[in-house]
Formats: sequence, C-alpha cells, structure tokens
Amino acid sequence: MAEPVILEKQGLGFEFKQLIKEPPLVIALVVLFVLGFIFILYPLFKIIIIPQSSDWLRFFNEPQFLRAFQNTMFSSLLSTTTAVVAGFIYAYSMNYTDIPGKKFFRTVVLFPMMSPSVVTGLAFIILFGRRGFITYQVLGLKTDLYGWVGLWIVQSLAFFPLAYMTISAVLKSISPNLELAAQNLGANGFRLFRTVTFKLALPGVLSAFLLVAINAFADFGNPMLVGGNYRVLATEAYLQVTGAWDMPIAAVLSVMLVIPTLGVFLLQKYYLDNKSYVTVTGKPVSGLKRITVSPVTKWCLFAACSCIALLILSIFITILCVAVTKVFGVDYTFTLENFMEVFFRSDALINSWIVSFITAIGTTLLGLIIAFVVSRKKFPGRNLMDFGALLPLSLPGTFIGLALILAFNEGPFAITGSLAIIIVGLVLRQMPVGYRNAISGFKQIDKSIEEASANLGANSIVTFRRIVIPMLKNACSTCFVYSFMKSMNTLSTVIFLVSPQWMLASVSILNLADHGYYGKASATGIGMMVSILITFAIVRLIFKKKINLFEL
Amino acid sequence: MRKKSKWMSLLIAAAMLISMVMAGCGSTTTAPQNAQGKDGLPDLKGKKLVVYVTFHESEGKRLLELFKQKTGCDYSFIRLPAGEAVTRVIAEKGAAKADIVLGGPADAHETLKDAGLLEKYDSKTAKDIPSYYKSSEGYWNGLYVGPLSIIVNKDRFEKEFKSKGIAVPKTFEDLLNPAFKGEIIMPDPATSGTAYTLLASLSQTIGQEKAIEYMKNLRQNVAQFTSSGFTPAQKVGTGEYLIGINFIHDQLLVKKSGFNVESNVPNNAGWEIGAVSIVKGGPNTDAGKAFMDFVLGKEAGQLHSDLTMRISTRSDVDVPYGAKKVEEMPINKDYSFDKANKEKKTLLEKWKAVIN
Repeated sequence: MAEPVILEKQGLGFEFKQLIKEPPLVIALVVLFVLGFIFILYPLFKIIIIPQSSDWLRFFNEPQFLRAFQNTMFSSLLSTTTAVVAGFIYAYSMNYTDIPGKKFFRTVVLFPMMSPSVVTGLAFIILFGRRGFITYQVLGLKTDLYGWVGLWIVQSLAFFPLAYMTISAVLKSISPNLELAAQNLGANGFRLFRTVTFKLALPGVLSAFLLVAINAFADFGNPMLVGGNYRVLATEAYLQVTGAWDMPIAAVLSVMLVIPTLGVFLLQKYYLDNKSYVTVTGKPVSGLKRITVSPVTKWCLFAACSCIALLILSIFITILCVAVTKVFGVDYTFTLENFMEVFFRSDALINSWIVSFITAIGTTLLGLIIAFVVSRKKFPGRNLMDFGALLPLSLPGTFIGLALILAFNEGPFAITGSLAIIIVGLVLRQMPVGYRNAISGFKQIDKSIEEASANLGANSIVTFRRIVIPMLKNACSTCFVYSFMKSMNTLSTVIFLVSPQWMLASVSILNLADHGYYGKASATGIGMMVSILITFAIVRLIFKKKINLFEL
Repeated sequence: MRKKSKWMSLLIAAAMLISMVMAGCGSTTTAPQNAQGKDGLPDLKGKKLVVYVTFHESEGKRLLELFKQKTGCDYSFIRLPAGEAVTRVIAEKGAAKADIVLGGPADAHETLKDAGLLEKYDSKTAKDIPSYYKSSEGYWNGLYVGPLSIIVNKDRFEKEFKSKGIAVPKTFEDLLNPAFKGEIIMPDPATSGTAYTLLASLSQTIGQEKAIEYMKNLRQNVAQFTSSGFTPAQKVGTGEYLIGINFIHDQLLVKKSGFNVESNVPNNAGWEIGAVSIVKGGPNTDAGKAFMDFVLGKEAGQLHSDLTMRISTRSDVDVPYGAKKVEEMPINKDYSFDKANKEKKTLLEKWKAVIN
C-alpha cells in the first residue's frame, strides 16, 4: 500500500503535493495557523496600533527609556551568562560524575522554579539586603543590593534551573559510545570534554542560552523586587501602565523589548542550523556506562554544586521561617495561622492548580505537535510557524496580558474574565519553551527512524504517536514540569488576566507582599511548592515512572 | 495493550480535572442566608456584585462579607493597584465586568468619569460626607482621607543619629539634612500617586519652581524611589532605611504590626481622598448602588478604619490609634485635586528632567 517517498524533490509545488497526501497533516496545519492568527497576530495587531508616531519618538527623546533599554541588555546578558555557566557545571556534574547526594542536588535545583520570584526576592533581601541577616547581622557589612548587582545575583539564581534543565536533557541524550570511542582513540580528561562532549552539547548549550536570555529580557518579578532604581524595559512598561496609565508608551517599550530577543533568536537560528549533531541513531546504547571524571575534578564539581545548593537552601529556609513567624523582624512567635489562611480560606491555590495543569497539558501537546511538523514536515509557511511559535516568549507577560484583554473583550471571542483567557495567555507564554525543548529533542533523533516508519506505511499521526512521543519522553517530561511550574508562579502574564472569579496564587502573593503581609506571602509560596510536588507525585503514579520528573 | 493503558490513564486524568473544575465552580455559588434587607438596604438574595478593590484583599473581603450579611447579595472581587483598576475598566469599555471600584485616589475615579465609564448615583448616605470629600456631580464618593507623613525607624535613629545631636525629622526641610544621605526611601512621583501628591502639594504651597528645586535637593538624600506607594513604610519598619515618605495609614499599619516607628505629618502636607464609584453598565448596577449606600455608612466606615488604619470621611467614625482627626493635622487645607490633576503633565516632565 505504501508509496515510496522520494525526499530529494524540492520546491513549493512538490511541498503542496506532499501535503495533499496527508489529510491529517493538512487539518493540523490549518488549525495551527488559525490559532496562531487569532491568538498571536490579532492581539499583536491590536496592541501595535495603539501608539502613535509621537509615542515612538518619545522612546528616543526621553533618556529614561533608552536607559531602561541599556539596563535590560546589560543585566540580562550578565545573568544569562552566569546562569548558563552554572547550569552547565551542575548538569555536567549530575550526568558525568558519581558525586554523592545527586538526588539531593536534583531536588534542590527545582526549588527556585517552584516558588515565585516575589518570595525568593523577599528572602534574598532578608538574608543579604541592607539589614540582611547574613550580610549585616552576622558579617556586619553595609551592603546595598538594590540595583544591578542584586538583580544579577537573583536573576542568575532564578534562571539557573532553566539552564540546567535544558543542558541536562541534552547531555543525557549524548550517546556514551561516542565518548567511549574517543577514549579508545586516546582522548582523555579535558581533551575528551573539549573535543567530544562539549562539541556535542553545544547546540543544547546555545539553546539554553537563548531561552535564558529571552526570559531574562522579559523578566518582571525580579527587577520589580530587587531592581530598586535600576529599571528595565519590562518593569518600565508595567509601571507606565499601572503608574502613569500610559498604554501607548508601554506598547512602544514592549516592542523595543522584542528587538533584542529577535536578535538572539536569529543569531541562534543562523548558528544552529549549520551544525547538526545527531547522536541518537536508533541503535541500542544500553549497557554502556558513561566515562566519569578524575577524583580531583569530581570533588571540585561537588564543591561548586554544594555552593549553589547551599545558597538555594538558605533562601528557602528563610521563606519557611518567615511563613511560621507572626511578624518577621519584631515578633518571632511561632504560628501556623499563615498556612491556615492560605490553604483553607482562599481559593487562589486551587485556582492556580487547575489553571497550571490545563496549561501544562496544552503546552506539552502543542509544543510537540508544532515541533514535529516544523522539524519533520515540509510545507509552505514552515519558517513562519517556527517563528510564530517562539515569538510569544519574547513578549513581556504584561504585554501579552494587555494585548489579550484588548483583543478579546468584545466581539466573537469575548473571553475576558474567564478561565479560558488565562489559559490562552499562559499557553502562549510557555509554548515556546515546550517547542524549543521538543525541537532540541528532534535535532538529536535521526530522521531516518521516522522515515522508516513512513516507509512501512504509517501516516503522520501514527508516526507521531508511536515513534515520536516515546522517543521524546525526556523532552515531554521537561516540558510538562517546566510549564506546570512556570504557570503556577508566573506573575507578569496573568496579572492583567485574573478576574474576581479566577484569582491566582501568584498575583495574591504580590498583593500580600505589597501590603507587608510577608508571612502570608511566604506561606502562599510554600503552598504553591507543595501543590507542585503533590502534582508531580500524582503524575508519576499515573505514568508509572515513565516520565522521570526528577531525573531531568 | 501498554499503549492502551497509557491513553486510559490520560483519560482518567482529564476526567479528574473536569470534576475538579466543576467542584471549583460549584462551591462559590451557594451561600447561607441569615438576614435580608437589614438597615434599610434592599434584599439582594440571588444577585451577585463584582468589585475591583484597591486595598488589601482581606480588608475588602470583610467589607463585602458584612454587605452580604445585610442584603444576602453574593459577591466576587479582586484586588488591584489603583492604576491597574483604571486600565482594566478602560480596557473593558463596552463590556464592563465590574460593578464597583472600591478605593483608589479620587483622581483615578475622575479619570474614569472623564472617560464616561462611571454611573452617576445620588446615594442617600453620601449626604453625611462633607462636600469636599466627594464628586460635585455624584460620580464618586470619598471613603477615607490620608495625609502624607514622614516615618522614622526609632531603633535605628536612637542608635545611630541621636548621639550626633540630630532631631527626628518632622518637616520637609528636615529631610534635606546631609546626615540622612542614602537613608531616605520614597515612591517615584512618575509612577506612584502617593509621591505625586507630595510633588503637587509642594507646588501648590511654595510654587512650581521651588517645589522642583526642593525635590532636586531631596533627591541627594533619597536612596531608593519605589514604584509602589506602600513599600517605603515597610522598608523603614524593617530598618533597611531610616526615613520614609508616604501616606500615614500605611505607616500606622506597619506600627500596628509591631515595628518601632514614629510618624509625623509635616506642615502643609498634601493628602488624598480614597474613593468609591459605580461602573457604568456593570453586570449588576442595582447591587452596586446598594453597596454604595452601605459602604458610605457608619458601620462600614468604622470597620474599614479599624482594618486599614485609615481616617474615615465620616466624622462619626473613630479615628484609628496613632492618628488624629484630619482637622487637627497640619495638612494643606487648600490642596486642590483639580489643580494637581491639571499640573500633572508639566510637573512630571520637570521632575523627569531632574532625575535624568
């Protein structure tokens, strides 16, 4: 029945012909493009038509806006570099050494992602700020971390897990027999690392850099809390909306924020597309153990990981302490009142859970489907889809939120104030991560496996379900974990989308912290982490350990 | 078979999810009815009021809970900063989602009125509120009054500054003392209504040029300009900064939670009116009107003052501990909101020139 597929043929006409042969693919493409048009293009159009030419000029004439632009570039690149370097060291240690306490390290790394930046920022200030417990009370130092230094540390810490997760997924999929072969040929130690491991990991490392940079550019919570007078584009745009009620300039600032992300995106695409490192070839690699490093390197790496883990732990112990004291700073009486309030007298946590679960499923599936068609199928508009799938991440969350409100308040898609609009906003914001992850995974799997499936008569759907999903298990689990956690504690995207009926925990935390209820804010943060952990446990049970959530 | 069980489990997960969503929706709709139509308020059983609250959630919830006890009216609400509430109501033009904007400075409500988004209502309880605390056309009513104040961390002051012979700063002039360099925290006039009140009130008492000159000098001592008006008091409470400037109720709340701080209202201080208004075309305007009658009343006013440490616009509501009646404070009684609104653009442009 199966027709032999000749893939060497090219050209638009041929691409169309190929398409017609696969109706499911055609339907999928039409649906994807329509979704993209309604939920990406239309809101973008709505928000771009707001500023007038005079507003665009203001960006260049008022020094504060240009300074915000410079600040964004400077602080983002700084913290991205730190996060990626730390993430690589950590990921390498987890995958290439037998250091003790790996399970502990792997768990700790998830902490900063599970808790919202408002709470970590708060704990950071309590520990290392002007009257910081460690800096002032223990060491007697007069430090002031408000500004770029504090932002640098907090952002590096916040984005380190993302870098770690992405790089680790890549390191894991590097076939050990390549390294064994290299070793047999005489490469050892650093030479082996430099010439084989690092080269194979490079696309993943760059992908991590891109992801972290884009996140750092659009980061909102951290600059809001520890930036002080140091303003970046995302906070400036938000403050222009909430403080000065100036929508046009906020839109301009957001568009300006797209420029660096677009630059990073193009750079990455140009660079990565010329390098293809396919390491999974469908041949069994089981039974082979990775080569481990020398004892000196091992203990150096252990020390580095311990430092990072210790810093993270100290921050979370602080959050716990704040949550169980009456008024941190004056009245250290133990109390569980904060937890009672958060768990039993507020809907915010349950709402957040529902929203995040739906988002995580949607993001994983959508990211996987788009990545599948983009990296494996040829059709007109493929590059456009690739671009569209990545674009939302480069938009600040507040921008997405406002664009959605403006676009869907009236007309055929009046969904403001509903659960749907929150989900749309979150899926839009998280999808690029799922997509990136899946693409990264596809790059590592040789296309011939799927071609073999096609040659044996399977259509796109069957290939997708029976070949692609099982092979991309790692990418899928990374995506689910990531988008669930992110949706749980994302603040900027939902801040304009929450409604009286659908109040979320992340927004409630900002309100609590804003009004000085640090205890309740911390308790909410812990509540969010607990519900994330419970969810992971449930998912693990359902999938019978097939999704290795903690072995990222 | 293995594949099948996988899909089955997915199905189960989806079913669990749907049931949770349903349970979540179901639980918010029912409410026991204890009393109806109390205190001359209508019986609003089965109706639902939607509110945007600008002060803290727990404070808003207590007020709405009391309203529910009296009328049987169900409610849902969300807490938003005033600017965001304005942005939202404007964005929702033509398809209003809320009935009431509760709290936020009078000029925010003026902005909504100018955009034609507010419902005019002549509330029967509004007559107890002095005319200078409400909209002359009946679009919004003042709920509380808050003067600007200087907060000082007493622990730190006694340890680090008293020995130098420096007195606790009580006037705007005192704040210019070079000894306070890097120790003052205040909101940014460009993004915070609190700080703009400072700039505008200075301009009205000493003139625009001198006000900008003063801000220029003050800036030498300010370590951080915050985006939110509340933050300064909190950070003075924890001792991160010595001195803060914002509204007195924010400072009293910090004092109430146990921090050793002192608040002084400087001479000719500016002040704000926190107001409440009805959104035009909201889902339940009648309930909104009843809420307006309720919230301007004595009982609601007292509850609000007790919870938020704010000074009520009603003279029959007790003043919160540590505050005084507005008339007894050295505020600028001639402070004009209208003028402040009109001057906003020029003043902020001049202020931006100072910081750039």
